Amino acid sequence: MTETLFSISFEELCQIEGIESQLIIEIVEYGIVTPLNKRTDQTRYEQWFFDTGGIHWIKKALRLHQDLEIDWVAIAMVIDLMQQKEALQKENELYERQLRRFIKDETISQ
Amino acid sequence: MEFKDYYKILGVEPDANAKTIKTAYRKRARKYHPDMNPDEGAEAKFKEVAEAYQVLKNEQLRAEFDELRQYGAQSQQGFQPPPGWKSSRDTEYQEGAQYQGGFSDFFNSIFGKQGGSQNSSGFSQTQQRARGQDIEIELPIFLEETLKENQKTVEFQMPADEYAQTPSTKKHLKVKVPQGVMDGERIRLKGQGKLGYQGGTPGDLYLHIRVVPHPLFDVQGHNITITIPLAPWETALGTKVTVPTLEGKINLSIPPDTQSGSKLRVKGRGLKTKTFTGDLFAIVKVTMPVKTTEQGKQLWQELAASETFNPRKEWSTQS
Repeated sequence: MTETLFSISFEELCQIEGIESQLIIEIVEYGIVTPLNKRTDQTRYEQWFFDTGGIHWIKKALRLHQDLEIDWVAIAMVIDLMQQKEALQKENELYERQLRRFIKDETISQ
Repeated sequence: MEFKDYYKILGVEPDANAKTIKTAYRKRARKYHPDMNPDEGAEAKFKEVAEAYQVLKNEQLRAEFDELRQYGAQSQQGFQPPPGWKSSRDTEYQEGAQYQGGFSDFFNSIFGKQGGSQNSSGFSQTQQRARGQDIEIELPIFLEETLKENQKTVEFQMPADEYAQTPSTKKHLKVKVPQGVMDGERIRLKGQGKLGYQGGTPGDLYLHIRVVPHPLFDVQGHNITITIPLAPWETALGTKVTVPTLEGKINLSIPPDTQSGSKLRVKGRGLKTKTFTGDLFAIVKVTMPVKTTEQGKQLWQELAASETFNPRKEWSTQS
C-alpha cells in the first residue's frame, strides 16, 4: 500500500523543482502560496511545509515566470485571478446543477 | 524529418533583430502557454514557439540555424543535417526556458540531444543525477466513498523515458484514499512518479480528486443539498417524507404552509472529515401532477373560489 500525503516540505520542494530556495521564499513573500505552518514571520523557512494544492500553484508560477518572462508581482495577480476563476467556475457548475433540478428544459409556447 | 523554420514559427523576418524576436515570442507565448490557454493543441504550439525562441535568441545557435536553413531550404525530401554536422551546443550548457517536455527531433538532430531530465530552466545538465518528473492524474470518486477511508486501485500510464529507454507502461497502484477528501484536492504519493536519472530519486504521483456529480445530492463545502419534490397539498398541509441521505434514509417532517424553495436543515448528515461533519439541506420543490383528474380539477376550483391569496401581490405594488 502506498503512503498518501497531503503536504510537502520546503526541502522536498527544492529538490522537486531543482530551484534555489530563495525562489520559493520569494513566491511565499508575494503571497502566491502560504506555507501551512507559517503563522508568524519568525517561522524558519526550512521548517515550512505546503499543502499539495499549493505545489500545483508553485509549479504554475514557476512556469509562467520562466516561459513568459513575467515578473513576480504580475504572476501573483495572475495566480490570484486563476484561483478566483476556478472557484467561480466550480460555484457556477453547482448553481447550474441546482437550477436544472428546478427548471425544466422544455418550454411551453404561447 | 521536416525542416522547422523557426522564423516562420515566430512570424518574424530572417533579418529580425533581437527585440523583434523577443516581442514576437512574448506575444505567441502568452497566447499558447498551457497555463493560460486550455485549448487542445495549445501546448504543442507553445513548445514549438519556445523551441524557436531558444534558438533565435541565442546568437551562436541562431547563426548555426541560419547556416542550416540555407541547406534545409534546398532539400526536397525530409531534412537531415549535413554529414559531419556538429553543433557548438553539444559541449556547452545553455540557459533557457521551456514548458515541461522535450525538444523536437529536428532540434535534437541539429543541436544535440538532452541528457537527463530537465531542471527548472527547461534544460538538463548532461549526465548529472536528476530527480524523476512528477505525474498528475485525475482520480474520480463517488460522494459516498468520501465518508470513510477507501482502498482503491489506481491505474495510470507511466510515460516513456527516452533516456532510460523504457517504453510507456501501464501501472497499477493500491492506494488508501482518506476519509473526507474533497473535490479538487490533491493526494501525493511519494516516489511513484517517473524514475530518476543516473540514480536520482523518483518523482511523485499526484492524484487530483474529482468527485463524480451525484444524481440526487449537490455539494457545497461540507454540506450537501437534496431537492424534495412535494405535491401542493403536501406543502399546504404538512407531511412526513422519507428522504435518502448518503447513509441510509431518514424521516423528515414538512411543516404546513411550506414554500417552494424552502430549505430544511438536517444536522450532521453532510460530508464527514475526521474532525468535522457537515449538514444536509433539503430544498422543497412543489410539483404538479402531470395530468389533473376531473375530481381534482373540481377540488382546485372550489379552493380557487374560497381563497383570496394573490401570489403576484408584489407586482401590483410596482405598477
